[in-house]
Amino acid sequence: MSYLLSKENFAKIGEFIYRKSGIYLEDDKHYNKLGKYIDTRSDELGIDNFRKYFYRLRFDDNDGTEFQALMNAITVNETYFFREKDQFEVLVNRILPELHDSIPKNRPLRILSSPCSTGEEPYSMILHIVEEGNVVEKRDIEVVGIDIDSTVIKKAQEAKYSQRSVHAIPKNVLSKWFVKKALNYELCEDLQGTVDFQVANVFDKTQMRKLGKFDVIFSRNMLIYFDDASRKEVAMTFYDMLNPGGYVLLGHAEYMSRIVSVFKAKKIDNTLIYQK
Amino acid sequence: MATIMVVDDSKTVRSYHGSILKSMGLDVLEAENGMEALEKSLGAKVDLYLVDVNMPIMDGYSFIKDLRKQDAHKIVPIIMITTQAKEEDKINAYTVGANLFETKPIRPEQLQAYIDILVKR
Amino acid sequence: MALIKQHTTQIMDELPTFSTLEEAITFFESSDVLEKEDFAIEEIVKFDGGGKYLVSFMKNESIDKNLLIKIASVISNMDSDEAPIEDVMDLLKLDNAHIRNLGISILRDFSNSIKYYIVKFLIGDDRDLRIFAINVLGDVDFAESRDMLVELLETEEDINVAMTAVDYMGEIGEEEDVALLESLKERFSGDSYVEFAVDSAIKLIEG
Repeated sequence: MSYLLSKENFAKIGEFIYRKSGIYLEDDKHYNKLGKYIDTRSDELGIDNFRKYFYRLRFDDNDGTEFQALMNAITVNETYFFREKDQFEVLVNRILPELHDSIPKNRPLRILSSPCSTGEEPYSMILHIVEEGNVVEKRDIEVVGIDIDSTVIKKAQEAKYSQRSVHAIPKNVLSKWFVKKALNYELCEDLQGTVDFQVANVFDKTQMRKLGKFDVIFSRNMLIYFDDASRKEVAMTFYDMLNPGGYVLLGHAEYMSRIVSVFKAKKIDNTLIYQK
Repeated sequence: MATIMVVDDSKTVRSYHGSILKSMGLDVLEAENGMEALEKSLGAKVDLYLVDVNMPIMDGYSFIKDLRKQDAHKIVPIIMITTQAKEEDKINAYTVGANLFETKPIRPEQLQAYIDILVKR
Repeated sequence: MALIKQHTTQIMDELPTFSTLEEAITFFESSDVLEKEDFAIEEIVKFDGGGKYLVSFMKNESIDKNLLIKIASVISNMDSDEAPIEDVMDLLKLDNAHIRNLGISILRDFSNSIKYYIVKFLIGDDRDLRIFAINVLGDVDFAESRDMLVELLETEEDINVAMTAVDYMGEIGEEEDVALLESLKERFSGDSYVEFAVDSAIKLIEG
């Protein structure tokens, strides 16, 4: 298969993407996807070579939409339960027990999912928490999910999911906590309402303040879409929202080293996490 | 096999020194700034660091300061590299815990000499 | 103990409102609670002259590292026509590398607004500033970036400045620039670093 995108050009555009978003392109993972996308997009634009496409991307993209479209094409956007599940495992096996020991018992452990989209991420946290069972028996845990999009928040509150959304949940966990209704899986009543869903904009300082302080923040695959200054702003907002000793977890391809130096990087069970 | 980390915001500087080091049979890790270097040093056995001064997000001095706080990295050799060697820069480098201070690029023969003294293979 | 279903609204400390910059500054300077300082910074920047004040505050060597970063971030997010860019430029002259680099990162966030300064830096005496200017050219969407890099490369004598430019030429250079790049090998007497950098750039251009 031959694309407008040669291997050298792949390196070239990879440099550019890495500088702008921190995402490091891998040959086996991204070459074909990117090649196909650029072919299609160049066709749409009436362009017949890579150079012209790259020029447009670099010099003729004032509102950032071309770059945004490129990012959408190469990142996996779909959300589903237990996506990047080692992070949930680190959360319940290592982070929550540690925080449980260090935080006074008279207040709940608070976790934020931002963006929560249609709820798969915060509910994945809930499922891991109840399956682990120990920490939640000893203290209160509160999970909050926020997103700027009100339609996804509405869906999240309904807690009804498709086969595709639950495909990665182990069968025994699925049958324990979900009720199958026609083609959908509905979260069982015991777990309904365990996530506080709110429509909120991370750039609105007042809204963020009203949410209170958290001990853990998951923000996966959101920051990569922002420009440098906005990314810094949101990272600092998350920092402000964390209790001392609290943790932030980003997506697998995201690194605080592209953004700010205020967090302390730690590796637990091979997962990179950031502590205040 | 010994591992060297090259910390510099210039891709060419990283690649150039990296290729010299690789030709000496060493493993090379690269980082674009001090924070990335900290992330990559977690759980990694690095035998020598080459560290640039001016980098975005976290500069070389801040990086070395933080690295030296960690037990695992208290004595690992660090060579600071820079475009211009001013007296204050040298003193700052030694104060935060760098072992050597060099202007870049470091020549292959010079780099070989440093590796020979500083890195056990 | 359990998962909380009754989600309570969080009790917030009452935060003051300010009607003048002076009020906000007074609150900021008298506060030693990081949270209150963060809030004050966000308020200060909304007033005329607030940005200027924050930049001058940055020059204070003994401030908390994180507070510095917060201030830098807030300034980075100002509107480009209101941002105290000239004042941020002053930070580049400081001895303190950390503050200097923060200044640079702020300016990079205003890349599009500092074209005039970039041109000045490119022909100036300070080689670190020349490197900074080249990094900005490499970052932003100036259609003139390539022309400016070519012009610089025609006469640049400092090896590190030149190779920083060569780095970006690999990305935005054209076939017609290859001859100039090749000529650098001679200008720098066959230095292995220059050979390496130039060959890598040419490979990307011809790719």
